[in-house]
Amino acid sequence: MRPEDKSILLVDDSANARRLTAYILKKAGYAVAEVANGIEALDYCELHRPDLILCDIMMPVMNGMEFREKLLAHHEHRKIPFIFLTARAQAHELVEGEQLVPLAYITKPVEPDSILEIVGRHLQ
Amino acid sequence: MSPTREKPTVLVVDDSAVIRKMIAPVVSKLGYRPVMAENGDEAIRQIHAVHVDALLLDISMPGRSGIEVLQYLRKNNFLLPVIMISGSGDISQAVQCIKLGAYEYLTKPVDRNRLEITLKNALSESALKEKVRLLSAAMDQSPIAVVITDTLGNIEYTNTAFSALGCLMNEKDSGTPVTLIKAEAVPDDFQGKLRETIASGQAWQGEFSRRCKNGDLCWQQAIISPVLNSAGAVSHVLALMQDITAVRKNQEALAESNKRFKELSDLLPQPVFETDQKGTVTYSNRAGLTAFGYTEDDLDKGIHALRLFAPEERPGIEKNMRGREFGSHEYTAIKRDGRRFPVLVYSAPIAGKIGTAGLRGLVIDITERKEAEERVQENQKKYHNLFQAIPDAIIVADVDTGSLVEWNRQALLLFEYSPEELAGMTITGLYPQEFRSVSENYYKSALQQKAGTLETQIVTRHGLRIDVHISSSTFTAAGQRRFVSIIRDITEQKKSESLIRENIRLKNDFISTVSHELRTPLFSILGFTSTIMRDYEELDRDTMMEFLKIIHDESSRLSALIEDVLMISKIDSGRVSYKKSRIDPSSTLAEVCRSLKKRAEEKEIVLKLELHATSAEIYADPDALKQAAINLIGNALKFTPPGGRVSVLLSQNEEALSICVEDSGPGIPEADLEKIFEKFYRVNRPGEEIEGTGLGLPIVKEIIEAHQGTVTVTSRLQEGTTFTVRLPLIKTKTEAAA
Repeated sequence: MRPEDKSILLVDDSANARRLTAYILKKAGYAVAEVANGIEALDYCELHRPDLILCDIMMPVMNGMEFREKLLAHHEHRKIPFIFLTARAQAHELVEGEQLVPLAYITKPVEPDSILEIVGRHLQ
Repeated sequence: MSPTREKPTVLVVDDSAVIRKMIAPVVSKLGYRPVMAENGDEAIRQIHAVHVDALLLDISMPGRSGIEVLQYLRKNNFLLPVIMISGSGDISQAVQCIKLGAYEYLTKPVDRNRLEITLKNALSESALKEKVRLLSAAMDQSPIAVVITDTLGNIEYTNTAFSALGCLMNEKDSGTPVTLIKAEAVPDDFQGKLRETIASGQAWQGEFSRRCKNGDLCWQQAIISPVLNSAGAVSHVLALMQDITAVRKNQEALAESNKRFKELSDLLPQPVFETDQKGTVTYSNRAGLTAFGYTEDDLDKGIHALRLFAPEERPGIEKNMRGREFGSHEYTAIKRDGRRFPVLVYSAPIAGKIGTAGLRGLVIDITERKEAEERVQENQKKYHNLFQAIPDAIIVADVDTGSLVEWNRQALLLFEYSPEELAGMTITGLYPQEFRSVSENYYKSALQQKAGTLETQIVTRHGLRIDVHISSSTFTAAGQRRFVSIIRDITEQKKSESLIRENIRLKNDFISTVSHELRTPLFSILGFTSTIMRDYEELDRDTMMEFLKIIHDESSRLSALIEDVLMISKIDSGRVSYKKSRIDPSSTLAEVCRSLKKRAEEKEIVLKLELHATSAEIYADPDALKQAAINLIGNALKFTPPGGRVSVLLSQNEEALSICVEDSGPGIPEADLEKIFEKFYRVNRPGEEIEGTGLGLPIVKEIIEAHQGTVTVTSRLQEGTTFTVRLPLIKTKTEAAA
C-alpha cells in the first residue's frame, strides 16, 4: 500500500506545530487533514474515516482526552489507530482508564523521522 | 496566873463573922480580893464557882471541917495554897494539915503581920510553882529538844524531846561534860568559834550532821544561846535542837529531783520554758537559751516572754493569754540578735495556790518544716503554672471511674465546657461516638504503659469536631491512679500539611506547564530546522522564508517565556529587588507605545496614547513599570483583531495615578475574569492561535502590587477589555502646602 493511499487526521491547536507535522507527513506521501481541536476533529470524523489520528492533548475547546473518549463511544471509529502527539511530560499519567490508552505517545519535541517511523509502523 | 485577872482572889472561910470581918480588910489591904464563906460546903461551892488563888481556912467549923475541905481539895487536885487557921494549936493537927499539903498553919488569934507575910509568900510561891509547872510541861511537850548546860558543858536540864532525839545522851552521860556538837562535817575550829560566840553573849545557829546511835547519819538544826545571870554574866548555855534529817532528806530529794529535771530538760532539743504571772521567763532549758541567743545571766536579769516574739505577734499572743487560749500556736519568734524564725508554741497554765501562777510550755522551731512547706507550695505553684501555661489541653482522669479530675485552661478553651460540666464527665465522653471504642482501647493500652500517641477527633460542647493528637500516661497521686492526656489541636498542622501538599502540587503543575510551554516552540524549531536541513535543495524560497519565520517567532516566544519564567520565579522566591525612584510615568508610557507602534501598524491597529497627567510623579522602578506596560499594551494588541483600536490613557486624581489600557478585542468571558491573573491561565479562544506564556498578567499584578498599586479589569464580550492600573502619587511640595 502506498502512503498516499492513507489519510491521517492531525489535531493540534498550535498552527506552527500543525504546519510542521502536516508538512512532514505530506512530504512522506500521506493525505493529511488538519483541525485545531477536539470538536473540529469530531466534526471531521462525522464525514470521513481517517486511517490514523495524530492528536495533541492540551487544546482549547475540547482537549485530546475528551476527543478520544468521544471517539471510543463512536463505534465506527473506535478502532482507528490513535497516537497522542504532545508536549506534556508523562502524558500517559493524564490518560485515565485502560480504554483511553492509545497505540502510542509521541512526545514533542521530536525529530521528523521519528514521527514518520511511528506513524508508518501503526499503519501497517 | 492569867494577866486578865487584875487582883488575886483570896477565899476566907470561917464560921465566925468577927474573924471574917477582921481578915477581909487585911486581904484587901494586901491588894487581893477577899471572898467570904461561912462553912466548908460553902467554901467548896465557891472554889468551884470562882477562881480562887489562895484559901484562908478555919479548921473548926460546924458541918464540914477545915481538914475535910483540905482533903477534898487535895483529892480533887486543887493546887492553890491553903493557909490553915486553928483555934487549938494542936501540934498533931498541924502536922496532919501540913501532910495534907497546907501551906501554913496559923493559930488564933491571928497576928495581922504574920497573916500578911504568910499570904503574900503563899501567893507568890504558888504563882512561881504554876509558872515552873507550865514551863516544864511546855518543855516536855515541845518537839524541839532543849538542853541546858553550865558553862562547862555539864548538862543541867534536858526535856523529853531531847531524849527522843536519841543522838547524844545516855543516862550515864548526865552530869558529865558534854560536847554538844560532834559534827563530822564541821571544820576543826567550829567548837572554838561556837564558844566564842556564846561567850560574847550571841546566839549561834546552824545545822550539822552526826552519826546516830543506830549508825545513821542524822541532820540537826541547833540554836545555841547563852543564858545570862542577873549580873549579865553567862551562867548557862541553852541549846534548842531539832532533828531535820527528814527535812534534809526531803530537800535533798527535791534538789535531786530538780537536778534530774534540769538535766532531762537540758537534754531536750526543743526549748522548754516557764514564766511567772507577769510573763517574765523564770525557767528555760539550754535549748531555749541557745535557740533564742540568751545566756543564764540574761535569764537572771529577767527576760519578758513577749520579747522573744516578733512585735507584730505580741498583741495576738497577749490576746491568746487573756482568753486563756493555750494549746498550740504558730508564731514568729525573734532571736536576741533580731533574726526571726517560725515556731510552734505549746503552752499550759501553771496552777498556783490562788489561780494561775504562770505559764509553762514547749517551743518547736519549725523553720525546716516551714521551708519544706514553702518548697512544696513553690513546687505546686510551679507545676500549676506550667500545667496552665502549656499551650496544649491537658486532662487528668481517674483510672477506675474515668471521671475527669483536673484540666488546664487550654482544655477549657478546646472543649468549651465549664469546669462544672467537665467535673461531671468521663474521659471517653470527650470523643465523638464513633471514636469512643478507639479511645477506650487507647486508654487500656495506656494502663499497661504501652500507649504511644493517637490521632483522632474530639467533640466540643457545641458538637464541633477537632482533629487532635493525644499522648497519655498514668501516674499515682494520693493512692489514686490517674490518666494524664495531653491533647494537641492539630487543625492548623493539618491545614498546613494540606497547604504544603497543595504547594507541591502547584509547583509540579508549574513545572509540568512550563515544560509543556517550552517544548511546544522547541518542537517547531527542531522540526523546521531538521526539515530545512534535509529538504534544503527542494524548498522554494517562500516556503524557506515561511519556515525560517516560524523558527524565528518560536525562538522569540521561547526567549520571552524563559524571561517570564525567571521573573515569576524571582517574584515567587521574593528575590525581586525594585530600584525605585521618583519618575514621570508619562515618559515611560510614551517609550513603550513607541516601541510597540510597529506591531500595531502590522495589524492595522490604531494605538492611541492620551496623557492627561503630565506633571504627575510616582515612586517606582522604571524598568518594572515598563515591563508591566509592555505586558498590558502587548496583550491588548495581541487580542485585538486587525483594524481594531487600542488606547492608553494616563490620568490622575488627588490620590492616585491611573493608567487605562482599553482595546476593541473580543472581550473576556466573565467566568475567566477572576482567573486571568493566575499563572499560565489562558482564555480559550476557539479557532484562534494567540501566542503567549500565560505569565504576562501575573507578572503585571506582582509588579503593580509591589508598588502599592492595584490592577483591575472590566470586559464586555465582542466590545473590548479595559485594564486599569492605579498607583499612589507622590505629593509635590506645592500640593502638600495646599
